[in-house]
Amino acid sequence: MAAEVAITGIGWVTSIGCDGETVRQSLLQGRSGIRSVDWYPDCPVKVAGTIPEFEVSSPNWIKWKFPSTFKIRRDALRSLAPHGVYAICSVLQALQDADLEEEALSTPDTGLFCASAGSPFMIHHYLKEMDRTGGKRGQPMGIVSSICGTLNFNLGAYFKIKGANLGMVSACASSSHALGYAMEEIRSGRQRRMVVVGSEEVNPEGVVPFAAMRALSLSHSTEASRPFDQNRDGFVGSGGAVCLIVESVDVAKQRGAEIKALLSGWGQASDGHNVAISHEQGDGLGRAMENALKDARIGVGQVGYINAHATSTLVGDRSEAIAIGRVFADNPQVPVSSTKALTGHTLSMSGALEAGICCMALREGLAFPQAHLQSVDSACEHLNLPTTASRLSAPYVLSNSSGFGGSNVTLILRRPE
Amino acid sequence: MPILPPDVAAEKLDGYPPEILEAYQAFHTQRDPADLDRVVFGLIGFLMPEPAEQPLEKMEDSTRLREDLQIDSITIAEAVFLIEELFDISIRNEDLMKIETIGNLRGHLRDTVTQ
Repeated sequence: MAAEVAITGIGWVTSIGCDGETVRQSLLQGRSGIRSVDWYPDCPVKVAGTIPEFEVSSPNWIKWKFPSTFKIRRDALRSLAPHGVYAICSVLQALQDADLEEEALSTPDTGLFCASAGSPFMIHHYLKEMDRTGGKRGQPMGIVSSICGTLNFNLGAYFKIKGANLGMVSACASSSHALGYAMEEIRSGRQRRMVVVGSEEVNPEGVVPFAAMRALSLSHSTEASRPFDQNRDGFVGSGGAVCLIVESVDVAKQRGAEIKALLSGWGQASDGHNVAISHEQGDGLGRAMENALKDARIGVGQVGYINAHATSTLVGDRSEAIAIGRVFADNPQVPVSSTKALTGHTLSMSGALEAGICCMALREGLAFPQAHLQSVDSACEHLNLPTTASRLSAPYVLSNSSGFGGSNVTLILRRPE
Repeated sequence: MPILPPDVAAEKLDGYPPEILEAYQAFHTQRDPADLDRVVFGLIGFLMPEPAEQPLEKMEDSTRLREDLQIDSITIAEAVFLIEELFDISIRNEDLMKIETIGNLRGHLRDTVTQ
């Protein structure tokens, strides 16, 4: 029989808080992490989900500042991208939450799956330097501190990982894929514990290019992220890091760990449609949800809350609403919300962040409300989008993620007994 | 010898211990090789995981960088990158690979920078 999978620790470095309690309060009080930014004078992008308490806007690691509660070895900073700082801090916090020492990660049955787009910011910096010197010289840590994979390179070395160590690259579905495959590692018995980290930077290099796709909100409002609202005009870029410690239930119980939630199932399916645009009818996402329900061996009536992927784009939100309507035709009153209204869209880390939020929903026994919703898009009216928190009426919650290439992942979590 | 003016060097050394810039400024005006040593070994010392028991420039020439001080090749390459920037020099890979001791490094950089 496949091993059951538990989440036993969560670390948060997000726009709505850098510890679990602050994140919880932000979600309950509808406190937004979206703030004004002034990256370029004439740039139309004026808001982003920035990370409080961290100053990592320089490419020079010596100038970075982060909360003194996090102790990162100085020599390790040299090979990090800015989001690597967020990521290490999130792992340290998750370890504390899981009541584990750092040494516990350095065993052959402990693996690491990361999700990140790398650092366009650092790549930009190093390529400018290459142009300046004519290729004569360059920063030796340039590659490992910038390219896609920088997280798993650095975290693998920092925490002396001896099991699986790799990165997932499916854009905004990446960290949900990481969690799904972490479940598989544990179910199969190949690993007994997995560290799953999603992390992104919040800087012009990482965010502004999405404006060229007409995917970003150009509003100046800190309420610019308004999933499912008829006046939404795009997503608000964000980042940070979230780490989840995932263990087999047996291992967690043996060491007396508190189980935050059980990972009961996951599913994936692709649209086969477009490189960057969701299928109009949410074909792939609908099948991802069905596959996850099948994997968890539950019916739609057992789901008490859906944390939607909805990023506040016109096409994406409608596509997801149609998919949910189709799959949940027998449970149309299931509460749905996208917490990206408060956090912004954290790209590849969104699956990890929202799985963490689902753990919180299970713990609180609450479906989080849909923030910033004033007037529901007529194409989404069939959804139950509560604007105040409601009690969970069923034991399971579901989290959706969709990424470029039509890649879709659904995770299903359950509260522990 | 085309070395960077101190104000430009100050930008490159922003955030590093101030005594490295002081040593650089002293070398810029007086060309005393001992000041060059303080720049080079100050940079390497700062990049080491743990501070050495005594300033590297005061250690015996025979002290081995890797075996005795646990300074890995990437750390040496990173310090060398900064030194190349500050002194507008280029150190060849084959020369870098021959540097095994404090004395090798001191000698090679003194020769290269003052050429």
